[in-house]
Amino acid sequence: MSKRLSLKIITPLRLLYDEDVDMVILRGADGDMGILPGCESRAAVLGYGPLRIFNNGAEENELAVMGGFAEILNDKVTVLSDAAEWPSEIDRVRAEAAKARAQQRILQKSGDTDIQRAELSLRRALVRIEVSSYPLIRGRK
Amino acid sequence: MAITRGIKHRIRGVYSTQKITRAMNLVAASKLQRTRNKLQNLRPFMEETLRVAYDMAARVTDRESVYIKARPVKNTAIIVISADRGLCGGYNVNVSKAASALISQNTREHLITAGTKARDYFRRRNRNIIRTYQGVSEMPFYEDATDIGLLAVDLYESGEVDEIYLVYTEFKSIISHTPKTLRLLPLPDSPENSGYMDFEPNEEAFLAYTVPKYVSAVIYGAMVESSACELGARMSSMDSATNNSTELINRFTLQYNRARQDAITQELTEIVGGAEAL
Repeated sequence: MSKRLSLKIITPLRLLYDEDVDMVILRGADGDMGILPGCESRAAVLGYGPLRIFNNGAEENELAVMGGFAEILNDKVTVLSDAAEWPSEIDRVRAEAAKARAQQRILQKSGDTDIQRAELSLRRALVRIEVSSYPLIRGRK
Repeated sequence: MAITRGIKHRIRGVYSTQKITRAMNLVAASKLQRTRNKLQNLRPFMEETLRVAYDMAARVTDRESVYIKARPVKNTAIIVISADRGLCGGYNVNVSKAASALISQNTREHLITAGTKARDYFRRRNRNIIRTYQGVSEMPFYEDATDIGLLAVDLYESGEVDEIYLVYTEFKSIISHTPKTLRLLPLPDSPENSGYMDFEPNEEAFLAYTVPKYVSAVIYGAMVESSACELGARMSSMDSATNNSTELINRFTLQYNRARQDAITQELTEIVGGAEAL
């Protein structure tokens, strides 16, 4: 376990994370990817989803990342996102309400742009709900 | 007593001006504090976004990509970030002049201005302004930057402009700001490819997604930097205005006292003269 990744998670509002980790799982546009030390250089568009941080063989923390992109270069992982949140910062009740609202709007189908926005906010809400339950559900796959 | 009344009036006038400048100084100081905190949190994002964008530009295999290959320049988009209000020393003029330096005879300029001051500056000079934004200078939001960014990238992608420049003011300290010019697009083209990089989902989609984000992020950073500069400039110019009015008040007070004494002496001489005549 000599080699480690240096992980940086940055949003316009703050620097969320800047530490060494063993592994990180990112939600890419086409699916999850696990990044281990020694990974080839790559750049990826990120989707809406959880970013999972692993240390000492176990998942240590998780946060909700809302899009953006990541660069992996020489064992340095840089995640640049418009918004990212720790589980403790997520208001579960608000996220549930946003989910219900977005679902209703999609069902009603009122104009194209509204649907797009509703879908985005539904995706955000789903990610928030998923991530906010993280500390409660141990040992997930 | 006509002279003393006039001076008294002026003292009162300067005094009330001083009250205003002092209040503006305090307001700017407290706003600056907030903006500086914001800037401090934002800087890592700005720096990393720029670094990552340049890194990737150097590693993209398609050197003909629209975002990288420099085209013969006929149309230049210039984004100028200035203040909505004056009373901040040379701040607005400096940034507008820096933007003017980009305008040349051979190319046509397309100006996008944030803040009324730059708009007025270029309107007076009959420059081609395509879009203006107001009410964003003191409290910039990310959405404003995205608006400007998407507009600029659209123009660039559709070929209406061949390059995009951003002119803003960089915040070094409260008293030191320098206008800065940055070329946003095309991305700097490095002569040799600096290494392999795997793009996810693929190169083209990656660039199409990231470039507008990079442009918006840099514009947002520039807006926050500029807003800190505006507030800093306003603070120091209002501070010196307050000092100047103190000086004026002192000078007028001296004049007033002299005039008052003169009047008293005059009156006394008249009384003494009158008494002697009796």
